[in-house]
Amino acid sequence: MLNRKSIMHFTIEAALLAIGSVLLVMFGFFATNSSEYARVQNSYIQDFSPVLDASYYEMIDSPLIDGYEGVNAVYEGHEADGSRAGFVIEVEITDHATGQPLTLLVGIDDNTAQLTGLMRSPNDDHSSSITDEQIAVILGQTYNRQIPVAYGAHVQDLEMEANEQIRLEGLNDGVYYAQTLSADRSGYIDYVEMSIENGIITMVQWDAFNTDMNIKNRRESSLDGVYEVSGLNWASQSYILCHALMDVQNPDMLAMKSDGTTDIIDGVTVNIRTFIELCVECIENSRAGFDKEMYLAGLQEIVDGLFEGDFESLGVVNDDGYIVFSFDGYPGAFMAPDGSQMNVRQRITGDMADYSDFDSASADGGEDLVGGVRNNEDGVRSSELTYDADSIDGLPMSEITTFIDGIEGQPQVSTDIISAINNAYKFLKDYLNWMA
Amino acid sequence: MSPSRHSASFYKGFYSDNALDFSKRSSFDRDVMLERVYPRRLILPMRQHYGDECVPVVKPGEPVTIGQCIGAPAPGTMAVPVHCGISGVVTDIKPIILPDASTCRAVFIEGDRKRTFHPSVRPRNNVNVSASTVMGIVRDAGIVGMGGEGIPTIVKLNRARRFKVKELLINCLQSEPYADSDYLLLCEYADHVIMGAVALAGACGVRIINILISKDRKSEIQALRGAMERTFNKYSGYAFNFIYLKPRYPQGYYRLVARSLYNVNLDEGECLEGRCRAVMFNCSTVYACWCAIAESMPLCSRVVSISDEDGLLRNVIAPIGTPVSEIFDSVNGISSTTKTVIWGNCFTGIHTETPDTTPILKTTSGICLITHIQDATAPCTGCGRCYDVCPMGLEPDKLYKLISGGHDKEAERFHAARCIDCAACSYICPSNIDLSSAIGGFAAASRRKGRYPYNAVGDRQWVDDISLLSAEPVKTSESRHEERDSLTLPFEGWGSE
Amino acid sequence: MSLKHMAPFIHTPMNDSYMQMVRLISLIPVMSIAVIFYGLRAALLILFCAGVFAISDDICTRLRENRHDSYLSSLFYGCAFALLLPPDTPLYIALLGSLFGSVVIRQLAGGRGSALIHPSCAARLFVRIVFPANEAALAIPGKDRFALESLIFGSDGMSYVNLHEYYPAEILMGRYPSFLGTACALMMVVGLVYLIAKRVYKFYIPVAYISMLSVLLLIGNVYLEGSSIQMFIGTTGVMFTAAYLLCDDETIKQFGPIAIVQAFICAALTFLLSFKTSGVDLIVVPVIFTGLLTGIFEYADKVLRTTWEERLHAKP
Repeated sequence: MLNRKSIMHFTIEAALLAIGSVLLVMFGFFATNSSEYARVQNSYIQDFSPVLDASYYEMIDSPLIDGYEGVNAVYEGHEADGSRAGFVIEVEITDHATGQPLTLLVGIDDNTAQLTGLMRSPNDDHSSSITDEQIAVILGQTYNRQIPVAYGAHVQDLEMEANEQIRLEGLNDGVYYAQTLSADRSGYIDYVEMSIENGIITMVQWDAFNTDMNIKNRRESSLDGVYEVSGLNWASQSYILCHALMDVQNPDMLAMKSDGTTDIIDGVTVNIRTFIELCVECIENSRAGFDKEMYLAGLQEIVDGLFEGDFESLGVVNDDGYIVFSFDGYPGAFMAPDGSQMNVRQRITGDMADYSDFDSASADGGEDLVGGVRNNEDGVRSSELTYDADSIDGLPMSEITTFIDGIEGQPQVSTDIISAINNAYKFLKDYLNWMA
Repeated sequence: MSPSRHSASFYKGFYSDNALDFSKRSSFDRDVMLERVYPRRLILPMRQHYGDECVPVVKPGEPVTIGQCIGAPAPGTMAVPVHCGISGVVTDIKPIILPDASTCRAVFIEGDRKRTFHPSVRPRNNVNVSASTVMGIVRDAGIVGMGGEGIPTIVKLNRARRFKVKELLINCLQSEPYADSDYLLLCEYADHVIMGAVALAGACGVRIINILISKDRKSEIQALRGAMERTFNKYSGYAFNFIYLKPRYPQGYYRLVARSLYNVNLDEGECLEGRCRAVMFNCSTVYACWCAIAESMPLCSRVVSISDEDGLLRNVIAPIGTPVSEIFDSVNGISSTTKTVIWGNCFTGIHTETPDTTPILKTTSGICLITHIQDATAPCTGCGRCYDVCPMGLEPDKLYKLISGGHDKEAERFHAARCIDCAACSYICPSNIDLSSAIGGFAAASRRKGRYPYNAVGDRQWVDDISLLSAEPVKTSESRHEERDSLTLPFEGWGSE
Repeated sequence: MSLKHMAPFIHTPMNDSYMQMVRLISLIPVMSIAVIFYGLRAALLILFCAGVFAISDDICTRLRENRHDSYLSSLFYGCAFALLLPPDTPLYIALLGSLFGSVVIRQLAGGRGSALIHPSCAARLFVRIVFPANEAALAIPGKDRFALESLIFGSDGMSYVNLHEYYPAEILMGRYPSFLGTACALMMVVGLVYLIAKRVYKFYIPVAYISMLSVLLLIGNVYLEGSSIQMFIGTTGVMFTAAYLLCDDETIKQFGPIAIVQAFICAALTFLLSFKTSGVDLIVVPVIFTGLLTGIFEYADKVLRTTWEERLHAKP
């Protein structure tokens, strides 16, 4: 039996031993930190220098990594002066031939977003059938090239498939333009510029210029932090929205709700009503063959007509050549004889025909579109499907910057390896809010 | 067979590594001088020795003095006289039961505080007495082994002469915890010890005197060396040696001394004198012998240690027969009201609940006060500590199980009867199992059955040769020559009533 | 006169409770580093195993209507078992192991003092055999200290770590993936020194074990592919054996030359096993085997001592 005195002695001894142990551990940590750092750096350099040349590497500890599917670990490479040289991302993909995992290291340059290296990770268990030689072939085709990457034949197939399924009919090639006729409360006049090639919308740009010509465009203002919106900056949201439209080729597919927002495009939280309206106008202009030059000339004519003077002397053209004029005080400038509002084309050409039929052939019967929104039985567009802007490895085609031939005769292996690169890109994009 | 001079010990197998070194326990604050206790009364049992009871030679109401013989051996018995340590009046003679459950008659004396000495108690003019004289003095002074054995010293002397021993061993190895009486005696009365040793050596016919002591007893060793230097011119032809043994309990036990010094294991019935040609006396016994020789003072007082767990240590000189309670009353700082009183030392003593009627005997070297906590007993873990610590090489854990289970024959086969009841196994047992009670009790019972004669019954014959009732010393067959000096019994007046 | 109190009237302070308490406190250094490295899950695992051991021992003791036994030894066995587990061991595995060690190995054998083999080692070996995948449930020290999911769901395990890349200082401080309590040799030495200083453990047993192992490793170094002695002793957890497993007085003799012989044999077994296996096998299997041989060692010791005694008894 232990009496009170001995229990007290033991308690004191235990406390002293615990404190001593903790102090010893702390001291040991302090004393071995440099050893550990040196060992870890040696290990990193040994493992990562083939994919990214850097003086030292640091492992990134972020909650984003823990939940990110396919990404095991991320390391930052730094030069000797501390500047970031790039990233090494350990990515795990599935070898579709065997169903086994393959772990690769992907090196990405920080400044140029180019691939600096690709190799099998030391942590890979070699259960996959994909060989180092196959990886080396892909590396040879992607080294020092910008990512994300697409396997050419795949892209072609996807493009053809996408184009066949969702191409709007009746579009004329060219550059089409539309702008709002009134400035918003901040003085911005929105505009959309759209390029169409072979009946496909290949470029969309949405920006706004201010009636105060001393104020920069909305895109530039948002990048400068002057123009703020909730969520991503307005420039990013505009970019995403434009690319979404390019993917779906139909403004209706963007599933704008009654309040002007959409839920199906990740990252877009701003009101897209103005964008949709301007896009619709551009498409109508395309169908009507009313291109940008004609639009701007028409607008100039309207403004000139209002002031019955020399258009040049009005000073409503900004440095980019846009006509910065709000027709707020001139409601009658676009009124039709029946009292309805006309747009510029209608005002100039007098052509009141309806060019707004956007239902594509493949959307008849409510069939699913590629990444599109399904019509339910009530005819209401359902936004149950998340908008899938990735056409390759979850990335929109518009983001793909490099197309390679892949491994001859092994398209699936090529696709698998390429998906590692693209997964690394996707992670970094999310991690850095990166815009390639 | 000469003993080894270096630091020796009894040992277990190949490694002598037990932890029973209590030398640090007695490093108390030691009193500068011995206190003397002057009790108001005495209780003198008639048997304070290994042997038979004495016969009281006084009657109630009779006055007695210090040094007077009040109990004499009956003819043909193995006994030595009992003497009175105070002056006073005999109040009663009746049987008492001692804490060890033994019963004998005792003489109750009420002191008169006058400290009147018996006329026979006076310094001897010439201490150069013959061997037979020494033996007679030792016999008649009632000296017994004061280390705890209680064997009459005369018996040992006769046995030593019979076996023609070669050396004399002085046992200064008081190794029990809290016991300090011998060490104080060595410091205070070293001269007596040296001279007593010389006298006993002469009586035994040996020239070599070995002092067995622990090396860390530096002050005691120094005192003895000083005494040797001072008394050097009083004797010649005797060689003193210090033999250092480890302060390990129970180092002073004669069997273990035989093992440590002579590498022999004494069988049952064997003695140190016969097997090793050496005779051993406790230093207190030696001191008492010299007191009897030089001052004609019989054994009627001794040094007693009173100690407790809280560091208290008092050494007192108390008359033999002093009740324990009287010692407590006389010594400051002792309160026994809440503590257990141990009659003896804490390893070999006996608990007593009646200190009023428990006297100090010739063999009582200490009184302990212990707060005895009866800890709970746990199952035996088979740790082997008892085996490691047993000085007799027994396996106490196994013996305990055999004895508890009633397997006596098996227990005997494993030499349970060799147990010396030192209680080291009980002390060391982590599970608080009372091993020594069971095994020691079994061993004692075996000895009582006579299967293992512990001390040769034949020793009795040597007592018979010396009639303690005769007025003259009986000369042994080896020493029948006439003595030149007149032998004066120190106990004049004895037998005249 | 009453003889109800018999000598001795004093007792060594080193009773069973004292010694078990000292053993338990000696585990504090390794428990500290386990908690510092692996955080909450380590603390919970240790407490859980100790609790299960103690409670099951107590229940079994009461069912047998035995005298109440100190639970401190149960706590020690539970903690030792937990310290031999990988950090990401789920609780159900720890529970099964603890129950096996307590009920099957200890209580069915007869309770305190009756076990044939070390309960913690037996429990650990049980877990090793029944849940082999759990051996890979290691983790990087200092990471995810507050993560508790592994206690329920276990973990996917860790990939191979090449310990030869580690500096000796890191090995000494245990900064590499290992079992909870077997990594930091320095902490184990602290615990060992405490045990020896409190005189609960004889110094010659761990010294004999480690020195014999070192000698054998020196001799057999050529077969170990360049493994240095310090790397072997520092990373295999054999210091845990020396410090905490061989000090069990129930199953391993603690005194005399036989204790040294047992330590030698344990070291030899460890060395021989190192050619065939690694991990926890090197820690627990030699101790179990040595415990099983205790009876033979005791008999040999008795024969030797009896012969020695007879020599002493022999008359010249």
